[in-house]
Amino acid sequence: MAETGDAQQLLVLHKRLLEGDRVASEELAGLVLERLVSDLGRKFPHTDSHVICDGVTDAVLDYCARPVSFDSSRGVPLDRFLAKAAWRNIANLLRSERRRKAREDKSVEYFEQKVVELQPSAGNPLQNEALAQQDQVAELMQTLENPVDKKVFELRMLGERRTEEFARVMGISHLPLVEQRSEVKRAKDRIEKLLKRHKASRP
Amino acid sequence: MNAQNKSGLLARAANRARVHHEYLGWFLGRYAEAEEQTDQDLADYLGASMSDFYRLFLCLRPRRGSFSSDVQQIANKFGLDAGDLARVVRYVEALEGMKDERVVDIPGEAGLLMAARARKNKPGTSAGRKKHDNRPKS
Repeated sequence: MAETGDAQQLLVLHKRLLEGDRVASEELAGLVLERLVSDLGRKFPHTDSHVICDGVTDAVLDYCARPVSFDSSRGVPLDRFLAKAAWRNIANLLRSERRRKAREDKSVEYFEQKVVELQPSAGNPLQNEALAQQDQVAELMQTLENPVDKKVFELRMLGERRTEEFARVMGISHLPLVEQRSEVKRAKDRIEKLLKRHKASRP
Repeated sequence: MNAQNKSGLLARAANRARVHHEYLGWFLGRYAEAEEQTDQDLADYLGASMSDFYRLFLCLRPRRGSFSSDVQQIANKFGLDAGDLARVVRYVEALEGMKDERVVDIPGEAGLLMAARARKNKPGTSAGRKKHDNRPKS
């Protein structure tokens, strides 16, 4: 929690925000971000530091954009109010992340069931059939016009599951992890849809 | 947390501000995107160090009613030219204004199309084509 001096400083910044000061948000972020990230990191010890950082940043940005959301007359210090909001954000991010992962696992399972017959590594005893399947994979690859989609598909066929690997080939490694995941998921869904459409259009 | 971590944290927070339209970061992000500039290009244009540039992202956007004084306050804080900063914000506002106009145009067209479409008869009334239909009944 904040020292007495910091608490005073935070209250002054709160008043400035209420008066419409445009730079108080930057000063407040400079004052609390680091400490909040460190405190919340201890409360969520096994959580990705980026998730913690995003949860804290969103709490600070949301409060500064709407400082009336904090009522100083209630006796709760501003830093505790922000810590609570950040805690809620992080919990929400983790919850949606769990839901996303469950959905993705389900969809990967479904996808793997669908394409397992195309994988030569499935141990098909007939060499000719294996070759035909390789052709099918190559044909599917041909239907993807976007080179990034091709790389994503290739990774998937190799059994890659890590988001960071997909993010790397998609050139979005600089984005926050949560955004990377949603972009990767979108790309996988799009590819799956393209392949399904291609399969359906074949005579 | 060391200085490197602190600057990393600041850069990450600034990045987050790009999606909050109440912040200057949202404007700077859109400007850089529209002008195909890197953060470094834009920081150079504004005459800010990279560290100040990211702090700038965390400032609240200038309000319409007090635009000049708000821009001046931000510019003074970081020792920037208020004119350059105002130009960036106005440019993005103009871009967004154009986008809004395009959105408004679409319902306008939909309205015209709807006006040209024939109305359906109410059940039980014998108006419209049926009344004048002289085709032989099969």
